[in-house]
Amino acid sequence: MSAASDSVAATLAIAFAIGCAFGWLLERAGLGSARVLVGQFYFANLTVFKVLFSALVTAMLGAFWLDRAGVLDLGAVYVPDTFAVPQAIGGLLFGGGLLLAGLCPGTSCVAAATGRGDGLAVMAGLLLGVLAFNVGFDWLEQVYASTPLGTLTLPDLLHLSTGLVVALVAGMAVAMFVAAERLMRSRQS
Amino acid sequence: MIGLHRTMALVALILGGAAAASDTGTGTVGARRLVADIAAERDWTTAVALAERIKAGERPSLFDLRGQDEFQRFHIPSAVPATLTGLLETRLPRSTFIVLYGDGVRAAQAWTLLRMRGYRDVFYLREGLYEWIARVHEPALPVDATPAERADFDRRAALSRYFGGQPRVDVPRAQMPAGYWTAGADLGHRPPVATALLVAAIRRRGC
Repeated sequence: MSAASDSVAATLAIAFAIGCAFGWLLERAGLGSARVLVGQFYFANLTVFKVLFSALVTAMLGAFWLDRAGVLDLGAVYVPDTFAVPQAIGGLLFGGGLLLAGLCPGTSCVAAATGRGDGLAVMAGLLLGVLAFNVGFDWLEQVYASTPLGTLTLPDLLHLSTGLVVALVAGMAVAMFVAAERLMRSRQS
Repeated sequence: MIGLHRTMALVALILGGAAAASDTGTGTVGARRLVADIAAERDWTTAVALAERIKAGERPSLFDLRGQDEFQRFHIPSAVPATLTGLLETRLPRSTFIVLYGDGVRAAQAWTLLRMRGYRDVFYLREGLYEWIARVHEPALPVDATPAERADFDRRAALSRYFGGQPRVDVPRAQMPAGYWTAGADLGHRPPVATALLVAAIRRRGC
């Protein structure tokens, strides 16, 4: 086996392991249940916000400090381009689907793995959507590539240092966790 | 559980505060990658390679970093004038193939700027417009050319005609344009006056 295919195999193995760990954590956090996910939209259950924002802050702090320690080169980490209109349309479509189905792509896999029928149905819809997108890509391509804004990052947009943005996001996250806890307590009492 | 959550929140705040304290400037992340690219000479391309990619159908974003007057006199086909300030605001897909050229060190400065902004496929011409004219627009064949030089000239003459240039043959060896591509030549930047003289000669011929 060549070095290149070794590298691809190792990457896929790591991706598989991370995927399994992610799925397990989602399930343990209760995000395999559509009721928990939809509760977010009615401010009845803020588990989604707390779990995913915790993951975001952990990844952000980890990436920043690993870069500082010389273990990770953040400059080599891929940041997707921003395409304003197509991504806004995609976001609305995604949000609408999440509200209707009660599951997003990751949690639908978790739900299906735990034997829930709604998870299987959402996964089937997801695969059909992927198929339809690819079949209709020639027709969609013009919209898909419209309004390119390049690579947007918060430090660039705000003209702040990366470290200061990290601090602001971490502070904002902690403030929102506290607010979420208070909201939940006031609803329960 | 509450105690664990409080501890985690405290750790996040401490790490976040330390991040702000340790990073007082913008754009420092990824500096090691830039240095590695420069050391491996992944920061520049040749005028011939650029011409071949354009001829093959690629459409690079080509930025001319000289002044407006110089740009109006002559520029590489499809290039647009640009300044460092303008490049700071440029919005292009991250995967765009970008080539920069100018006089002096401006193109290398622009390369650093764009790489720090996350553009990956960015290169500059080491000897700017001079290199384009000497190597692509007006390739020269020395009067005592070797077979290898003749073959290389034929390839570049085809490019020259594609871009509306004018190959020159039977050029005295002493008048052959020198640059990093010639053995024993100094690798310093071609002085702007040499570029200006070449452009003036092209304009006199009505190109």
